[in-house]
Amino acid sequence: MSHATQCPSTVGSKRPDAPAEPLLDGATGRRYWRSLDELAGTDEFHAFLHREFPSFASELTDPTRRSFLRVMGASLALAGAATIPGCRRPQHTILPYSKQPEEVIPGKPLFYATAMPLPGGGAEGLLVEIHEGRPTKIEGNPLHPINQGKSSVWAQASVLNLYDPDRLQHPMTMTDDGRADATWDEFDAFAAEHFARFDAARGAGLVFLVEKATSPSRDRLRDRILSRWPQARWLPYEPIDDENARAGARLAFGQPMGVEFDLSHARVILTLDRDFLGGEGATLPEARGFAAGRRVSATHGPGSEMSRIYAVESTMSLAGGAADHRLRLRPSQMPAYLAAVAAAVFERLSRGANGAVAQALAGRNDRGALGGIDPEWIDAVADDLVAHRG
Amino acid sequence: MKPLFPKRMNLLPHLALAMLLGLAFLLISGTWYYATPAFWEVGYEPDQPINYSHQIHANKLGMDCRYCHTYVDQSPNANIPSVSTCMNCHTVVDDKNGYLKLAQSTDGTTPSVHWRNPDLQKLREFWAAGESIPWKRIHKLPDYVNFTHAAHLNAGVSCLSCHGRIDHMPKVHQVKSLSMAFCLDCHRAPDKNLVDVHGVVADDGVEAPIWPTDLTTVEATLAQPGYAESVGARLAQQLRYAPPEHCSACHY
Repeated sequence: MSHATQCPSTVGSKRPDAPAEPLLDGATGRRYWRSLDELAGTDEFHAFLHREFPSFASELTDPTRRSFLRVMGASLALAGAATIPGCRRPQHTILPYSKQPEEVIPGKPLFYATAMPLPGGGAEGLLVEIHEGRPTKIEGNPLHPINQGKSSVWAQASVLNLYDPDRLQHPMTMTDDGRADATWDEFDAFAAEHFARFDAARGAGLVFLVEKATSPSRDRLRDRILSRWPQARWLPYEPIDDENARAGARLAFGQPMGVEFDLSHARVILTLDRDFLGGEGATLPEARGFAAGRRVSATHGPGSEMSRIYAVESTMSLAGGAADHRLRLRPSQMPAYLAAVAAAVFERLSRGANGAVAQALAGRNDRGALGGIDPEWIDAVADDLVAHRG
Repeated sequence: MKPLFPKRMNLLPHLALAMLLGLAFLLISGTWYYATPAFWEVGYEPDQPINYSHQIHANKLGMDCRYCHTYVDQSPNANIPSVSTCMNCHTVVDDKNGYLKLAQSTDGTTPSVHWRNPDLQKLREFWAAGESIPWKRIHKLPDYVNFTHAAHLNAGVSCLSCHGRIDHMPKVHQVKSLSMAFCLDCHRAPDKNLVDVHGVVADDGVEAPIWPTDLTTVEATLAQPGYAESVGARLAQQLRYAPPEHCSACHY
């Protein structure tokens, strides 16, 4: 074919819209290829080539100076012809509402109070700043007892969640071609026929797999579901969970409980792999307590000394960065460390541990497992803890 | 040997210099005059999607500017009314011939508009489709300027100081340059543009300013000889206005 219509890079090879054949089939002599795709001559490669270098887009095939100047001159003239009318003042459009909603003052934000569930339970109260229906900033609600005006990192990041294109806005069905939009009416029809058999079996075989949350609304929904289908199962599950902490709380307090520490009154804090600033647990109240404990007031008395924080952890965390002393231990070494510190504390208190604690400590006080850590980490910490007990 | 060029060519460098200076002068003076908002932007009168006439509505019918531009005293932007504001009146007809009539107007006539008026037809189409009317913006400051309508309205600057007699315009055009020089002229001497907007004090202690609704009266008031020295100065002093003249007032 003539050079004027074929992209130079494909000269010598197959036409882009010819059926795909491997490049070297039946070739004699040297054939240069630049990629394995080109060598294989796949359909995708030819499609890519055609898109990338459409055969009509290349005008500079004629290597003479005259044709080069002709093409350059033509594009310059075209650009000039486009610029003259383009030099005019740009036209801006004002698009007011068709039906203006109440309370919206264009140009001024509206604030809405809302709440967001925290991972692991609980919720925080938020104020969302909205400009003409678009949320722009999320802050804590000053009136909320947990937040008191502050917000967690999840709350700050959740403003992007609001613009997530994958956020479900209506029901969807799974068809052969993938997900398809559906309506609530279609779901009602589907539910009526699909869940009828569960009504007969009182829910046997139906499982609801949900994320963990402490939402009262969701609990009410769960109660309604389980009252209709008593044999159905409602399974809250989180892939990253603090099940161990809950088991520990069950050991300590008799019930599985979420734990929130009030750090404002603690003078010495020893954290074992718990990042109280960076997101484990109830970050907002704990961070507030931490800050209160570190705030030194001018007068003497309880507020006149900073709290001291020992952090023993396996990864770098905010609590470790803020701590006064930090020890790096593997998670497998933590029980041994805790046992050693506990034993040292009880030794200083001149009394033995009571039943359950002694049992837990018994097998674990293995200083050898701790490797070469500074014995000060056990003795000094124990001294400090005992000195500031209460 | 014979010289290559005739003697009069010696004048060439002088001529070239003179022409160059002349060209520079033309370029500079041309830019000085033509490349200003006062030249480019005054008189800009684009076609709007619907031929809304302020002369009929604001002048003949006597509607207050703020019936439509509702948040001009509360918001940084003076809002263009939504379609629902237009439909407040234009959904009805008064007589069986299809006319919407008003019993009174400022000039004693009985203004009326027919249902089949093509502009009303377009308006109804927008309303039925639930779409915004794409008005062409006329008064636009550059993006690096932050201008607040509310501050100016609450200080007593009338609409006509910056927008002129819009109520005399069948088609809105820009009358003032709205350049920085224009703004500074007033900021440095606000007395001549201030109008008394003291209003009633409500039960909660909040004063609701009252603007004179009639632009003719306002224009006459401001045009009184000695207004700036007497009334304007008194207003400015009583209310302790200090229109900012530093850069970060508007460029922040």
